[in-house]
Amino acid sequence: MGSFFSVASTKSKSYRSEWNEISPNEACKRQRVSATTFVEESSRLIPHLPDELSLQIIARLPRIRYLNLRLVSRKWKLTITSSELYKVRKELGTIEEWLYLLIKDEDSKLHWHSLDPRSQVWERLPPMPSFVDEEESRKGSSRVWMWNMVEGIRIAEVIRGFLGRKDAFDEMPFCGCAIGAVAGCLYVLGGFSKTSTMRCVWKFDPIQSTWSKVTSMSNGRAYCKTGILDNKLYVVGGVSQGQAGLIPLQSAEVFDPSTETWSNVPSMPFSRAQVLPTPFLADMLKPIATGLTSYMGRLCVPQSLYAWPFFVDVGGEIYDPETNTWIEMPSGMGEGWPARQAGTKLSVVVDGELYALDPSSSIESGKIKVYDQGEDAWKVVIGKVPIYYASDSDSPYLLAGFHGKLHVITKDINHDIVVLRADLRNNWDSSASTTTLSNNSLNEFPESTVDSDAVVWKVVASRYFEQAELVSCQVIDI
Amino acid sequence: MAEKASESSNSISLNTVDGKIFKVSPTIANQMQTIQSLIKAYDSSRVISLPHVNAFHLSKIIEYLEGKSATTVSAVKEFEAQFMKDLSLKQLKGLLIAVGYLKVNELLELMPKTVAKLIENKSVEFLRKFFGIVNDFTPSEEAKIREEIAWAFDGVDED
Repeated sequence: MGSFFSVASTKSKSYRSEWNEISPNEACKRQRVSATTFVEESSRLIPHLPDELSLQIIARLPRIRYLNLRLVSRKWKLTITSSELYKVRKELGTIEEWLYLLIKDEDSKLHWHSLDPRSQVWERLPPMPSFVDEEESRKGSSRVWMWNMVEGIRIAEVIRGFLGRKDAFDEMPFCGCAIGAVAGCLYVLGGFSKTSTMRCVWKFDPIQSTWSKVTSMSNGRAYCKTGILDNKLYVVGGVSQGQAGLIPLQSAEVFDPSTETWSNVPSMPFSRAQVLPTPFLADMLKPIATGLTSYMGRLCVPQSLYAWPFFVDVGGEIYDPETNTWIEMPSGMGEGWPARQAGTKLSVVVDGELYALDPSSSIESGKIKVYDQGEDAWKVVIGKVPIYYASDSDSPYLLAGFHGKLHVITKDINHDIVVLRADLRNNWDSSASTTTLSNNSLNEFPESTVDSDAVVWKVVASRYFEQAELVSCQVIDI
Repeated sequence: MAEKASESSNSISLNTVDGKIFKVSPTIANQMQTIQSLIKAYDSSRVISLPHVNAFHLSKIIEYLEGKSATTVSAVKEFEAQFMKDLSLKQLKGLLIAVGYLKVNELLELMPKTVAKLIENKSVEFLRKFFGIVNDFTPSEEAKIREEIAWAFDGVDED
């Protein structure tokens, strides 16, 4: 409000000059006033109203109306696509949290949709530019070569899912891209282009509703993990196209959206991979970052070792931006981390609590666990996640946190994509501590009781997206 | 409403565009930034002309300021709701403009809030007509924006 009044007071000068002109000759004065106001009025958002006041009105309107309101006039369009309006929204506390959902259609094309959870209205985002960086894609070696490598190092089942067809890379721009949201914008990072891993980064600005290219990463990466700390976007790990095929990356880098620059972050030490008994194993087993969640101001990265056909969980490592170093993850956190599926978002922090989804092998028993820092243990907070549809999708579930609540995005029996809000009834630690003394006792606990006592599911929104599969999601508040 | 001249010797006279003279106490007048700066510039005995404000809007502003100062803190919300409820959308627009012109601090937050609530679901055509905004897009510019809107809300079939 302070800025509003200061702007208003500078305008009072023009009013005062009108006052000085008050004269007995009313007609003469009127004429002069109308002559000066004519120019002014046509350039205002609302005629006869100071723009600062009009801005106060527009900033209070629901954001879902903004796309239509650009039609009112040029000045309205200019205002709605300017950052000034969103500063006012922040001051007034009228910012809204929207969910941005990335889905993959039958032809493996990626599409973004946003959801305003309050009005339950979906918006389709403009398509990502179908741009292929020629220079980067020419660097790639033969497709067959890489195919073997993908099979060989077996990054995850996910990659194989993506490579349903041999020519998948040609037709799937952004395959294996990572996504992130920072400073009110969406980012799409890296991925495959034909046979090479890309460095390029695309940004979607929801204010302008446009995609633009920003500074590329220093490394080409596919399937890297992203996380936000202190309004900066971190990317960690992934795979890169090397001379001998795909190489798992230990490196990390950070993007500062205010300067649009990338800086290096120390590489993950993968210290556990280095204590393997023989050099042969160490050479065979490739360390992979299998997740990333920023929790308590640090990046938590669960890791695995892969060597076809082996798959070994090795705990994880934590990056602390204050010391600029990686430390080993507490063993309970690392070994118990439930979600291990590259390319999916299965852990989320809501209201300071770290939740992760345990998809489990059977469809019936997806669980959500919460990390108890005091005991260094994961505890079941939701014993059964509703799933109606046995999808062979890469990521049948996504987790998201908005409006201060944990949300699960999945597909229902009609193949609609549904956004479910989990209202946790009981304080998880009181219920968990009485019922879960160890993992064994937890398994004995009837899940139906846990389910009905602990959580109430509410459908926030649902929509039919043909045969589209869930890929990932982000939340933006502006 | 306007105070009687006898109530206060140093009351300020305001002349609305439709020729009505209102006498208000300095306390009320000082809550309108535009008038406050005029009182400083001129001697207060003079009648201040308000070429952009009519009697109805000025009387509502005075009613609000007097009513609010007489209301207990806990009842302010109720008073404000009642005050706004009595106004038609058209009257609200006029009042909004008067408040914006006179810079009535107390109303600079409430007015946009109330107007926003009332127009949040109105069509583009309604807003243009209601506020007197001229559509200055060329037909092709407008068609392009309509296309973008159709794309966003039209679902998933086309490509």
